[in-house]
Amino acid sequence: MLKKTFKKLVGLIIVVLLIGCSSSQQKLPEETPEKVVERFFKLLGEGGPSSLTEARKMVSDKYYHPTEENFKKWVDQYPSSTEIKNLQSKIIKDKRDEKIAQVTLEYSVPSDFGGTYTAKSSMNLILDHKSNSWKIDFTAETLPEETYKKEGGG
Amino acid sequence: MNKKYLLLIFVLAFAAFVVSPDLASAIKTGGADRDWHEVQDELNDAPLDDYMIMYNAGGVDGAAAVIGLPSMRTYRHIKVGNDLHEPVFGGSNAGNNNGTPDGKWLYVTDKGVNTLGVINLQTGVMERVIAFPFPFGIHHCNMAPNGKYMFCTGELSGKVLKLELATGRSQVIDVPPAPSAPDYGDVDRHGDYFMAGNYYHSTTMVFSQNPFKFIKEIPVGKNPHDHHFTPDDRWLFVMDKLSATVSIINRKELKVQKVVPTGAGPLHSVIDRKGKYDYQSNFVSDSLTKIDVQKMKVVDEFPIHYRVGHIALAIDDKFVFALNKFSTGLFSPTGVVYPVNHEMVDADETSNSYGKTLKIIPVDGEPHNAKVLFSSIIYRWETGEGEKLFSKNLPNTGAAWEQTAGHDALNPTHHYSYKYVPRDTEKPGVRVAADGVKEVHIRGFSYGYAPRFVRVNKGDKVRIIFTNIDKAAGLTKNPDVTMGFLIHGPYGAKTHIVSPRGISAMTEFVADIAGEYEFYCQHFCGPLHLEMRGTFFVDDAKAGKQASLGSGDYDRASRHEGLLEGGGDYQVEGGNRNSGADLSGPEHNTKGI
Repeated sequence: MLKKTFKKLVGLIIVVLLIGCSSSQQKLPEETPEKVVERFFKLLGEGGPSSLTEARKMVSDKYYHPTEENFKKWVDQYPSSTEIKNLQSKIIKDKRDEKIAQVTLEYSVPSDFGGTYTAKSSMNLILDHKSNSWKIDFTAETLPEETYKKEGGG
Repeated sequence: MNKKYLLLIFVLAFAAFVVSPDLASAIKTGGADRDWHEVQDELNDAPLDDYMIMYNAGGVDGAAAVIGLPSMRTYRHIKVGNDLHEPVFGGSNAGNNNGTPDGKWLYVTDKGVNTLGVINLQTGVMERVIAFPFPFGIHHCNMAPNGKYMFCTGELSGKVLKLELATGRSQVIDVPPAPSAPDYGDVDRHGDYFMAGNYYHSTTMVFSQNPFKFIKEIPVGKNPHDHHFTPDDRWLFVMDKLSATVSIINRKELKVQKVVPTGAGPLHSVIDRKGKYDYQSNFVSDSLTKIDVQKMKVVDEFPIHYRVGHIALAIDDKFVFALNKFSTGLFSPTGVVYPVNHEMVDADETSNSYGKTLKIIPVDGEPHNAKVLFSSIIYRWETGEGEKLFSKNLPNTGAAWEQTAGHDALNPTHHYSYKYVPRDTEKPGVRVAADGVKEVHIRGFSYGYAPRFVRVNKGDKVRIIFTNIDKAAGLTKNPDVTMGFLIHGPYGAKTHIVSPRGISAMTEFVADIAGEYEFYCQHFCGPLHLEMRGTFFVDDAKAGKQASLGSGDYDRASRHEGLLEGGGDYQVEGGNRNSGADLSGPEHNTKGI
């Protein structure tokens, strides 16, 4: 009787382990985080209703999803000549142990002082399990910036 | 037996009704059954029978909205400047909060650039710009009883001033110790006192009007906001924002007579013409409360839509208007600067719809204060003699500004010259970029900035990269709190940034005017929005001078080069050219007309 129960227990543990391993080793999306960011800014640069609708679909709705109208008005203020280059990414985990792709990049925009202004930026992408794709964290919900509030708090 | 008990209960209830004025009052006003929102039958768009007109200072919009009442239709917008706060009618301050308009002028304070825009009510265009001196940092102004002077608060520098309207001359008084923030005030009708709150001191400051001098500070509740005298000048009502009380000051004795509990987060108030009721706007409890002035207690409360800021009153006292800061769930989205709203509440106790919301309309920018006049005071334009209504054709009083013909309408510049860039990841602070530009990386959140102090040198090319890092907005419960960043004064029009949550914005300019200039959030973000401030110092390194309120190119700043389209600084009056005046003495009397 005990042997039978023990066997069942071992079987159950194996099943649990198998499920756990298979989920933690879920295949990462085919489109890399760099490609996603590149495509996102390309769509913003193109402008127009269809491109911006497409760009909005690339924004994660895990924490917050801007309305279509708001999103279009906001991104309208990005200069169409914004250039993105030198993209690199690494996978990290956020506070909730969720996978985040951190993409660093360089961008260039026209400067009022002439020429272009070039700076570094980074953008987090959230793994969307349903579609198995990387989604843009547009409002930077996953960036830990609470320390700045303590330094400067008003 | 049971019948006896029932009779007893009935008699007791009747007695309570007769004895308790509160209960009687509650039943009179509809009590608990009151439906707060009453939809009125829509009027036809034309012809409208609007017997009143409201002028609303539109904050970040830089324009004054003209709204017909009671239709609540927006007629038009008048371009004034940068970040508008307080509208004040020319004429006497007698009457309710609207004063007694003379139908000639509407003065509007511009906190963004430290000026006063003067609108000719008859033409509906801005004809004058009066600069406040630098450093000052205007927020609020009140009209003197005789309509010749205004008393104004320099929230961003800790000063107050008396302004002579005909000449633009001003006399400034410092209000130490720092930090000091004179804010909302009121001028009594007798021409004796100007009293204003100081939110850093938690006091009401008392000044005499003539001679213009500081008298004393009266401790009131925490973080005092709006101040209003009753029309008979007997009492001054002070909204204690963080104490949820109203401090009532006895004007004669200059001391607090009574502290009355009211709604949560009382910000502003209006008092009717007879001085019978004071209505307060309560930001946190989303309501307007009504204090019986004689009884000194709350006698009614009207729920309103959401997050009321200022409150306005019809000139005939029949309606109160909640000027709400958020419109959650009301209108279609409009992007970065979302619509705020005005909510019209029936204040006529004899009306069937007393206490109910009659209309809610979307309003541009941020609704700061609004004032109302009878529309009959504005002439009909279609008489064929419209040109005569410009002030250059009005009887001349000999003031210098009236001689300046050729600019019937002044066009202010109102820049939104920033652009959005990918998220800024540099640590907050100031550094020199590869192209030699001083880069200022700054974060904004509810309710502050990091860093709070920014220092550059005169002549530096400056690049501001501002990022809104709010995740949620606490009490406001609004997921989309847009944050503002504006360096007031000469850099106001160049740094008029608004940024939605998570977004970085960039603007560039040359810091060619030395001095100490406060930056602040010009886009409403919550109950401590007003306190969201920092300081931008432009040091004159070549002259070895560190910027302070005592050291800077303030004369030049007050000339406002480039503020008006197509014009030199001659179009802007006042400023430091006319500050330092002595406006005390019999010839500077402020008493009634």
